[in-house]
Amino acid sequence: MIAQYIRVGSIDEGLKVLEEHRPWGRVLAGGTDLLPKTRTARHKRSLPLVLIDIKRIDELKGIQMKEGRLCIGPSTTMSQLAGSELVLEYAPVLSLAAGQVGSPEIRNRGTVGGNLGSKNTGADLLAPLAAMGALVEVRAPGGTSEIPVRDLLAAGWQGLGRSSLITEVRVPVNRQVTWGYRRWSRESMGRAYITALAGLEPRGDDRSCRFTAVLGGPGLWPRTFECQARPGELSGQEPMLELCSRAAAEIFAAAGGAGGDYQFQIGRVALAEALELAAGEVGQ
Amino acid sequence: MVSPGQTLLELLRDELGLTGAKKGCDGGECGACVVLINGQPVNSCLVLACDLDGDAVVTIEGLAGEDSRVIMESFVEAGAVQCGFCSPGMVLAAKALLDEKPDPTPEDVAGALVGHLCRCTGYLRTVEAVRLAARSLAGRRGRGVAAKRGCADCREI
Repeated sequence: MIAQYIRVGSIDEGLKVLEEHRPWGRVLAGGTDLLPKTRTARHKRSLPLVLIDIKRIDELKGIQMKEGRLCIGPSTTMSQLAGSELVLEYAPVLSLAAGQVGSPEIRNRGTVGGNLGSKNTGADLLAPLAAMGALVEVRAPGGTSEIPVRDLLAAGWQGLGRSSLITEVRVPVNRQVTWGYRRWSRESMGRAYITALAGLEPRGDDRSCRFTAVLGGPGLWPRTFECQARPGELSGQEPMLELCSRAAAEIFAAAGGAGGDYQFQIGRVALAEALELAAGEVGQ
Repeated sequence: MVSPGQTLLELLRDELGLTGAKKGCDGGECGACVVLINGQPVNSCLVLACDLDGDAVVTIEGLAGEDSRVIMESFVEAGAVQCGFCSPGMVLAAKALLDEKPDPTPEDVAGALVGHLCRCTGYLRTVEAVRLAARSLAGRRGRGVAAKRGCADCREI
């Protein structure tokens, strides 16, 4: 049940109120992930949640370039992210990923911070941000830290929105890499069952490329595979599928099998489709 | 006075008697509860009533003006209204789309309505309804008929 609603005006106030209401405090941003969860039978019966609304904290809003990095406020909605001219210029794959989340109604409320803090390993922004080497600034009562997104699972993910706040997402800009993103869901508007990123960075005069593959999904924290791809491996659908099958196999092996053969099969195909998108941009 | 967990949808229906927005899934997946907040379509079941402060909320009851009449008539003319349960949400989403994109492609319309479920029509008539509305609105403007856009076309609550 939602026992209390508190609106805060600053990051410090938010952290103070979270601390005061431990363990029942939950950060409320867009609410598109949190509010449905409060309607499960377990929540209704036994958890007296205190929702702490951070939407009006100015420091958490906005998108800007700072020192060569795209800096995104966690209160940025998916619609704002998808439509941002800065994002389209410097990190278009984030716009592509954000624009596929849910529906326009969900995207008008759901936020970047909420997507990262949703405890859903298939969240649409996790794989692209991990692939791009993004960092999140996290503030907790004990201090501030900057954590690579790809390390977030082991480094405080569970505490996000309960004892700590994401205060900024920082994305290094590398215009040499072109990215393709594909998500696959078992139902319309559903959470992604697979999120697949493919990145190509031209290297050398022989038209070979540095190939980066990231796969994520339920039970599969986004994992990265990298290799040097020869032109022949990028020369058509069949060689790309073969390359992506190899990448997916290594990712799933490293993840201890994750969702099993079904998730692997979907993953390798989604990755190949993402690679076709990236290759189209590179002009391969 | 609203309770902490009371949603905008519950406030509209239970306190204000505005029953156009419907409680379908109560989880942001069916679109039957969609209203416009500050001109943007939003699932009212996922907005806490106490979260709103100075925001402009428009429900289906608040759509007034010629543009909105054209959209609603287009839905009827195209056969996109059967039981009517999903219609308020669909119409509001269409209004928001046409305010932003007066000449949407079928893909634009499908994208705008992806968050709306309908058990009756099979969706094709709904897509045609929105495109019919777009053509009708463009035709009216071409004939020099005054048409207000955006929130000027809506009664705010």
